[in-house]
Amino acid sequence: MYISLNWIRRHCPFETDDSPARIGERFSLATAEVEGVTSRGEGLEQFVAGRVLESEEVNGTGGRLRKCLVDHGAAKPSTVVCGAPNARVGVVAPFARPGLVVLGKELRAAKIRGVVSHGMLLAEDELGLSDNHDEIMELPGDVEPGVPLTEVHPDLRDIVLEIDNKSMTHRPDLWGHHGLAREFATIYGTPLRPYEVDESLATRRGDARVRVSIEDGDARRRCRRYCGLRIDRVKVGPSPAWLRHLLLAVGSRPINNIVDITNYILFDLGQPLHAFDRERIEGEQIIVRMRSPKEKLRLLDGREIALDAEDLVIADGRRAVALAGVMGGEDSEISPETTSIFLESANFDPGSVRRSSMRHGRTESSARFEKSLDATQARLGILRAAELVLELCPGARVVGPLQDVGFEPPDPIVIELSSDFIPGRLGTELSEERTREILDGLGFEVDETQRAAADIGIAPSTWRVTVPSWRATRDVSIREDLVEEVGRIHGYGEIEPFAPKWPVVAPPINERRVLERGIKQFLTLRCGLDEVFTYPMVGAEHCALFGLDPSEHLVLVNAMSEDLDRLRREIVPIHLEKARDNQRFVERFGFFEMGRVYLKEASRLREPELPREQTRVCGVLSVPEKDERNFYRVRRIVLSLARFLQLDGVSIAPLEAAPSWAHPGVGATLRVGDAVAGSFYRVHPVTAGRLELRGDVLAFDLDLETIAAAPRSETRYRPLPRYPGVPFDVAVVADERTAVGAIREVIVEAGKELLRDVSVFDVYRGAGVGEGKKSVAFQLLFRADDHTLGADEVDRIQNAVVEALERAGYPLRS
Amino acid sequence: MALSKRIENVRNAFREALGGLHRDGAADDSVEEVRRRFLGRKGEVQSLMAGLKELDPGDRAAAGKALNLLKQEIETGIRETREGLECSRLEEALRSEWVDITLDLDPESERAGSLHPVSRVQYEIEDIFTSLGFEVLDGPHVETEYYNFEALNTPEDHPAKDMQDTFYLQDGNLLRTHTSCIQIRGMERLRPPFKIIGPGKVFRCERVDASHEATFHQLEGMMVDHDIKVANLIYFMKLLLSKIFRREVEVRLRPGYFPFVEPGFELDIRCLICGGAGCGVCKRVGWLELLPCGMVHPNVLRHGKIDPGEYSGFAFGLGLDRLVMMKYQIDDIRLFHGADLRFHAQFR
Repeated sequence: MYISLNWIRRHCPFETDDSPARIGERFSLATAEVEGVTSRGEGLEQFVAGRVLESEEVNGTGGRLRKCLVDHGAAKPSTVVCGAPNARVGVVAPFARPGLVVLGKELRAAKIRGVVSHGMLLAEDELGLSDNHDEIMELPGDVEPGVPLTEVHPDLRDIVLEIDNKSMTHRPDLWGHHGLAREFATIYGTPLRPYEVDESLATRRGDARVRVSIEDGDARRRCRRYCGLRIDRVKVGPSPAWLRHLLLAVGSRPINNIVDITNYILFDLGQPLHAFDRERIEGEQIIVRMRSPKEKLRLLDGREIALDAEDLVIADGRRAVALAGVMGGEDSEISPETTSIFLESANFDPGSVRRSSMRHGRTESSARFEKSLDATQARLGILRAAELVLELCPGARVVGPLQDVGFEPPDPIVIELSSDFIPGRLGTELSEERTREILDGLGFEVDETQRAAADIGIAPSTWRVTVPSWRATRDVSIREDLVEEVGRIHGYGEIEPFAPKWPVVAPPINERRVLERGIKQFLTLRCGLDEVFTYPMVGAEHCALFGLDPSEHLVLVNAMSEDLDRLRREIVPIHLEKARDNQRFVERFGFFEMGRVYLKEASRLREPELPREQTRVCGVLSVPEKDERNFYRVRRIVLSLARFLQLDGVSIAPLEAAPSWAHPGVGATLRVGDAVAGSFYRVHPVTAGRLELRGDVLAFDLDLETIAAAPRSETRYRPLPRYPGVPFDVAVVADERTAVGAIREVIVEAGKELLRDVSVFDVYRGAGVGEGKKSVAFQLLFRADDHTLGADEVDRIQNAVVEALERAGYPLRS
Repeated sequence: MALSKRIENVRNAFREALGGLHRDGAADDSVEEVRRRFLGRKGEVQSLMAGLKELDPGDRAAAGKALNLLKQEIETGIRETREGLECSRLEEALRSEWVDITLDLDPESERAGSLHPVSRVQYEIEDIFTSLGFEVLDGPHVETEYYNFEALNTPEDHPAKDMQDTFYLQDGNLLRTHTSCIQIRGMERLRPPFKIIGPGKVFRCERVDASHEATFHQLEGMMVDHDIKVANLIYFMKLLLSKIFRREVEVRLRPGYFPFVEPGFELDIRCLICGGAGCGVCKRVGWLELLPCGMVHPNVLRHGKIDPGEYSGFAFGLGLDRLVMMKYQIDDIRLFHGADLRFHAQFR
């Protein structure tokens, strides 16, 4: 929204030495965010009034171009070629001589269709006043040629502040210049002029021949007030310059005097008005009602809309003529021939207008109603508008009394607070006088309860603060709201910051977050994986690609796109797609994500209405060469992470309940105790093929909830060995598919307490071992804590191991 | 000539020869030549030995001792010279070896991966807050209307509740639009005084482009005790921001409207790039809008079962993504959820 300072000064003639930028800054700091400050009409003094003395068609242009002789105050008139339809004899318009800059380009004398043009008659867009390029800007006919434009219209020079609308959604009073001027008045300490209207216009004699009523029920709840007034003998025509210039300054295009007046009231008071052509209102009545079934309405902008059952409409005796609070209808629109109008100034329920405008389009009017306007201003607006109609159409007259229906003034809001509450909450010194002065300036009435004379200036008194109607619709209702009013005008920058008193206590440690961070650090620093984030949303197509049932997902009603319309249950499939994308640029890589999945069928502990969210740690490795060792790298990542976290009872089992994208043979499940804590696997070749993944791609998928719940072992020191250990190498032959872990178990079982270490140092297949067989070589270490092992002892234990191996079907390799 | 005198002469001759060896950069054979001249079978020491027999038995012991000392000196001198030669030869040989220090050939080389830049900054900030006594909390991404709006004092027809801003689920729940829900969850668990922060993902129904994301990150903060004031809020904000940016920052508050605070503020910091003179980053105004904050609305305290007559507090919300983008000068917010490793590799 734009603020014109010329407009503000009509209500509050404040004087200041502040630069335009500083005015904007002060408004930002006190009231609402100024996004930009522009000086309108800068450089306009170079352009002068030029009167067209002669005007004739340029040959061969079919009247499109005219050769005009223009008197612009110089000794000799200039010839200019002009394309405007209104470049007729007698017209006075802004003139630019060659050498001046128009729209960023220097003007030069130029030959157009054989005629040399020495200058230019200007349209509003060429002056930067509006985007109108249809005709040259007409100045009053009695202006002397050569008078600078800024002397003809001093009000073309203006300072315009652009306000961020979002910063005043809570302030219905700021949507018009009178309310804005109240802020300037308080900031600059200049009184605000009251909004004066001609009360006599409310009680004119005659029959308006339009009866206003509000239907009971839904309509009554949605319409808090409806004021209507008939004015006859109006003459629709262009608005005077002062009105056009104000509207242009705030970015509104002048249309005709009647529409401009309604727009003026909108920007002046923040009160939307609508003017009907009274003769097109049928049945001599205006009814505020809910739409009838299947009712349609053609709006001012030409669109025909099908009304919704929730839409409130303004209707005449026959059909809807306006969508309440949003836009008027085309049928009853003001036309150049209109002579009798019916003005509407109403107040509608913000939610109702908001919902209608969401359905059918937002307007300046709906933007204001949805902020919850003060219903008292409806009457002010219509009376002020009527006054302007009479002023601009000298023959016009108001017929019949003002109809004012449905208004029940709400009880005023009174806030009780201690006089020291505001400075106390701000944490700054602030006198009672200054506090009251600020509140007064903003229209709040402060009543002080009596206090003992002895207490004055010592003990705080109790204040009863009455909230003005324009702030009472929702914005201000509690004492904290008053802290803001005083604080912002006083200036938050005036507050000296200081530390609160606080007991020295260590905050409890969030163990879960410590765990999460530990895992991330391990996976990045130790395993060399990059941490990534992916969207927690997927689409049905993605689900189908990975064999997931789209209907098992939580679905968004208003997703941005189909491919992100439900919450993920799995992360690895997303990672596989990301792996494919990355393979275009990076040859070998590994990444992981710690993210949530959302389970529709399960709920949060103690919150049955919310789905359970599980945090997963998932990752992908991509290696150009297919190699068995790639699997062992993923295995090492998972197991060393488990060891780093000191999980108790970790074991590896064949892949259970493998997802469709996992290789059924090359994968494993990680268990912690009895619980399944995750899995790791090579990607299924079919999935890899479908995604066009290259090389060897492997994934891991861990459930953080299980890991967090798992018991952890504490590190405990054991004395360093005092006696030497005896190593022993043994190689056995086993079937190809025998798990090394099974053989190791035999060794551990047989080695008893003297066996201190066992590791695999070679797995061999080929000559000398036999088809379908492999040889596995172990290195064992025997040691006793309390003596050096004797030769007998070593022999005995070695034999026991060998015998056990042979008994179990693993003969020594010969 | 007396034997003692002759011993002295030989000693001087040896010292001179040794000095010559050192001076001229001796080779093995010249050392051998010196050795033979003094210690050989017909060498100087041997001939002195012969002279020993001619002495009186009474003088022989003393002369023998002197002769032995000479012999030792010569032997030590020769040995040390040889060792020195050996050493310098080895040095020279080692010096001729070469390694390309610009090459990385470690077969085991495994680079450290990178934390996501948002994680990195988030952890940095979490650490600052915990050092100031804040407790770290989080909550669910899928929230109820109650936690996301109602408990935060959002009016029924507030624009934020529009479908244009909030993702709704078919079951009537929604994706949290801010981390402020964590305030309510925190208050349900904790009694004042408390200080909490809640970092996490949030979601808005927003068209995604280089500077707008539908999935992004916030860090909520809240402090509640008896008589917390606006002056305390400003104090904490200045302290935190100077820790985050590792220098003094100037802040200012402007009125800002958020239903869950009253008064509510927009906090700006003096532009860190231009220092307030005005530049492209601060759009020439010298200030950067950084975070919304305010005094906790009494209704919000009530929803947290805290008596607003007895307690007050402040709350703030930090947009992590913007902060990360400022810190690393990242120009496209979509990179954060893109999992493009060319981006992440820059943070290793």
